[in-house]
Amino acid sequence: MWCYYRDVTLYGLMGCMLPALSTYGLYDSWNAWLLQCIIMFGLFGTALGILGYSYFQKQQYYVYYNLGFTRKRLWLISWRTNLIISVLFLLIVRFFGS
Amino acid sequence: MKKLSVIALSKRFGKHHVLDAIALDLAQGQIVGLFGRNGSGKSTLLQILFGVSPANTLDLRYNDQKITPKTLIRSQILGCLPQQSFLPKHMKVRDVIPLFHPQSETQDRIFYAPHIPNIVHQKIGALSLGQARYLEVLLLLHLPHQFLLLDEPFSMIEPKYKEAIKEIIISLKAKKGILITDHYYQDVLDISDRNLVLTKGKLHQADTISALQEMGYLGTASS
Repeated sequence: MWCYYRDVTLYGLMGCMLPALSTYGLYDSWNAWLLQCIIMFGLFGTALGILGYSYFQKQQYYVYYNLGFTRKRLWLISWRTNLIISVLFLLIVRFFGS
Repeated sequence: MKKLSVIALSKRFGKHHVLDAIALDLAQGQIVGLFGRNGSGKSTLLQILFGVSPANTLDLRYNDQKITPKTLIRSQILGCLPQQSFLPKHMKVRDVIPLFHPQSETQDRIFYAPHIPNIVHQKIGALSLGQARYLEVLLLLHLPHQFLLLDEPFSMIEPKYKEAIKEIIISLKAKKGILITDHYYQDVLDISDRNLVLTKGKLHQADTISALQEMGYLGTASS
């Protein structure tokens, strides 16, 4: 499960990096830009990651099926984990960011 | 003795009935061979049973209780070896074995299986197709699942590895029900209890070479 989560999150981060970098100049502060990046990753990162995984590593789903994970369960765990991490980062940046 | 039964299974691609009212029984302690020409629907049948591909009709029973393929996956009752290689190529053999088998006893059985000590430090991507296939088959066969679907377990595998696989399948037979499909029909016939041929969307019993010839799977010159 950890391998799946790691791969999906890496694809998700890569997928979010391009729009994040392209909008860097539109924000007044680094903090506001970072908040937007975290929100973008929290909302779309996992979906992009799943798309990337399904395109490049589709066959590896069989590893997880054979270990008792359905595709839906894998998606749900990854999405929930990334959402929680995004909310935590949002709070950290919001309250402790300069 | 556990039993997995397909009461009715149908699959259409447009107007073409690939699988037409298929019925099949698989019991623990049984090895069933499934043959069919290319494109006859063997892999599709296995994918539907494993829940990877949708069916137009599917009535599946586990010990006479209705069950869905997703429940079979979640409960780890059914395992499947797909036709294509499925192991992560960046991982080393020594890391993949514990991923599938956390119990040290089972790990040891795979680590010390014939030919595995020679490849244990290699990455999956660096293995030959035959070595990777052999490893996949070993990982699957040692899972605790009661039923296994094996799609071409002998393809690209050298004779020595084949013999090792056949020995392991036979040694695990009492605990598992195994459905095997492979064009290396002699290897399948060596270990199977009964055999089926898929032609024109229907399953037919064919336990001998001559029956396979009659069903049009083998040419008359095959022996």
